[in-house]
Amino acid sequence: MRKQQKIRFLKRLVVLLAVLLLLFVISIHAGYTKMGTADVFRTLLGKGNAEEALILFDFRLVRIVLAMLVGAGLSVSGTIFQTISKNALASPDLLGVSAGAGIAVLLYTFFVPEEMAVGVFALPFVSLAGALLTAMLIYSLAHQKDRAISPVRLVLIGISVTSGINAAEIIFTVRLSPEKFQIVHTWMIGSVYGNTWSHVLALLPWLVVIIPFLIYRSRDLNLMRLSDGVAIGLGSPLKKSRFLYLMLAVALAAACVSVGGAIGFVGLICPHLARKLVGPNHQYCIPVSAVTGAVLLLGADLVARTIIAPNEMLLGIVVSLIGAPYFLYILLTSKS
Amino acid sequence: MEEKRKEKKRKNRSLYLFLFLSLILLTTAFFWSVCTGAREIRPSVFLEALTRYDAANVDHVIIRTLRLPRTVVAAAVGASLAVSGTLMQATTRNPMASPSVLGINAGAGLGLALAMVFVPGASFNQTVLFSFAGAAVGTVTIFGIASASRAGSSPVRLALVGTAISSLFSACSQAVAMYFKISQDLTFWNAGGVSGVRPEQARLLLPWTLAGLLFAMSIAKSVSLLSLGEEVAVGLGGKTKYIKMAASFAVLILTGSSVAIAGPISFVGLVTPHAVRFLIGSDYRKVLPCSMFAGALLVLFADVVARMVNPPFETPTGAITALIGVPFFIYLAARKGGKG
Repeated sequence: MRKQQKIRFLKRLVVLLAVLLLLFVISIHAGYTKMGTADVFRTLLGKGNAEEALILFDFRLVRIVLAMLVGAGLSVSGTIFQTISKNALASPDLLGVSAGAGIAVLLYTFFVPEEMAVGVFALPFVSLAGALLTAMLIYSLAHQKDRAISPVRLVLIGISVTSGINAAEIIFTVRLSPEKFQIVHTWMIGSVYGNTWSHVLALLPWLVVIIPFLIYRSRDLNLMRLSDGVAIGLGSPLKKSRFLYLMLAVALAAACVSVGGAIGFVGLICPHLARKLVGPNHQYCIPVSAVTGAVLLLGADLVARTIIAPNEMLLGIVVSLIGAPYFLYILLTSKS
Repeated sequence: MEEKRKEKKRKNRSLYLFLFLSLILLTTAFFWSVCTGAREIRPSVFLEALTRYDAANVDHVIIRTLRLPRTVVAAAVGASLAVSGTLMQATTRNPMASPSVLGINAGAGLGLALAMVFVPGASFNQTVLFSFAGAAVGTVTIFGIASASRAGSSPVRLALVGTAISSLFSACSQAVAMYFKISQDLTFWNAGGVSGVRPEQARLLLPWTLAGLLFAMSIAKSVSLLSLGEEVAVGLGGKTKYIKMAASFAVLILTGSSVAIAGPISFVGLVTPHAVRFLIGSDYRKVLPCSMFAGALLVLFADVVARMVNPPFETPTGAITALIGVPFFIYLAARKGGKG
C-alpha cells in the first residue's frame, strides 16, 4: 500500500516536472524578439551577445523563475491553510491574508520616503506584518466562543475584509499620479512583469527554508488532519504546532505577495488538485502542490504575455479565469 | 382588538416619522451635494440657477451641467440599488442577498464591457440594454446554480457562490478590456462613481429608474406575501412563480440601469434594507418605499464624502460605500453564519 502510494507519487511528480520543463522551454522562446533554440542555448551558456543576454536573462528568465517561485509558494501556503483549518476553501487570498500583505507593501512603497527605504529585501517583512495583522483580525472576527470556526463563514469574512481593504487601496491610489497608478493597478491584480533578480533573491530564501521544513515535518501535519482529540492522543502538541505552521503559511504567502502581488486562486486550487493526484499525505502533497502551483503560474504567465503580444494581459486575470470556475466547482461539490 | 389597533398605530407612527425624517435629510443632502465641491456655491445661487438661469454665470453653469446631474443620478442610483436589494432579500428570504454580493453587478459590468467593444459609440439606451443582458445572465447563473445544487441551502453558501461568479465575471471583463485596449475606460467605470455624469445621461437614466421603482412599488404587496415563506404565500393565494419573476424583472431594470451609469457601487443594496427593517419592521409594503429613500440618502452622502476626502480630487463613490458596507457585511456574516 505504502509502496504503491510512493510509486504513484513519483510517477505523477515526474509527469508534472516534465510539463514544467516543457512550459519552461516554450516560455523562454516566446516573446517579442524571436530567438531560435540554438541562440537560446548559446546565450544560456554565456556565449550570446549583450542584447541577447539582456533579453534572455533580465527579461524572460527573471519572470519565468518568479512565476514558478510565486506559484509554488502560494500553493504550499494554501495547502497548509487547508490542513490546519480542515477547510477545503482556505487559501491565502480567500482568507484576506494576501490583501493584507498587499496593502502593507503598497503603503510602504508609496509613503515611506526614498532615502529611508531599504530596498526590495525589506518587502517580505513589511508584507508579513500586514498579513499577520489581517490574519489576526479575521480570526478574531470569525471566532465563536463555544464552537469550532465554520469554514464557510471564515472564508466569507475573509472575502469581505478583502473587499474592505481593496476599497481602502482605491482611496489611497486615487491620490497617485496616472503613471504610479498604473504600476499599482498592475501589481494589485497580480503580475510578475517588470521585476529584477533582486526580487528573486528576496523571495528565494523564504521558499528554500520554509517548504523543505514543512516536508520534513509532514508527519506532524498529517496528524492535524485528524480530529483534535486523536491528534493529541497520538502525542502531537497541537496548539503549539498549529500556531507554528500557521505562521509559516502566512509568511510564505506574504513573501510571494510582496513580489507578485495578490494573485488569487493559486493557493485554493493547486492544493486541491495535488490532493486529488497523490492523496492527502503531506510528504507527497506538499511537493506536488508546489510543482502544480509553479506549472499553473508559468502557464498562465505564458498565456498572459503571448495572447495579445506585443501587449501584456495581466497574469492575475488569466489565473482568475481558470481559478474562479474551479472555485465554483469546489463550492458546489464540497459536502459540509 | 384594542391593543392590536394601538400596535398598528405605533407602527404607523414610526413609519411617518421615518418618512418625514428621511425627506428632511434628503433635502439637506441634496443641497449639500449641489453646493460642495471644488467650488463652493451658496444655496441661494442654486435656487437662482434653477429659476433665472444665466449662461454667463459660471456658478450657474456648474450647477446645471455638473452638480445637479450628479446629485440627481446619485439619488436615483441609490434608490434603485436599495430597492433591488430589498426585493432580492424579500424574495429569496436571504439576508445576504443583494445585487453586488450575488454577482449581478459584475454581470452587468461584463455586459457593459462587451458593449464598449462591439458597439463603440452606442447610445446610453443601447448600453443599458447590454447591461441588462449581463445582469440577466448573472441572475440566471446564480439562481440556476442555487436551485440545481445545495448552494442555496444556506445564506452564507449562496453568498460565496455569488462571490465566485462575481470574480469570474469581473475577470472576464478585465480580460476583454485588456484584449481590446479599453482598460482605461473600464477601470474608471469599475471604481464606481457618479462624478463624470453629464446632463443628457441623467435625463436618459431617469425614465428607467422611475419605471423600475414604480413597478417595484406596485408589486410590494405580493413581495411582502412571498417574504413570509413560500408555503404561506401559496396558502394565502399568491402565485409565487409570477411574483418571483416580476421581482427579478424589477431588479434587472433597476440594477442594469444604475450599473450602466455609475458602475458597481457595492453594498448599498445589502445594507439599506437591513437598516430600514430594523427601524420600521418587516412589512415590505413599507420597507420598499423607505429603502428607496434611505438608499438615495446613503449614496448622496457617500458621494459628498467622496468629494471631501481628498479635494480637489474625486474618490470613487463605490469605495466609500464599501467602507461603510464592509463592517456591516462582516457583522451579518458573523451573526448569521453560525449555521454554516
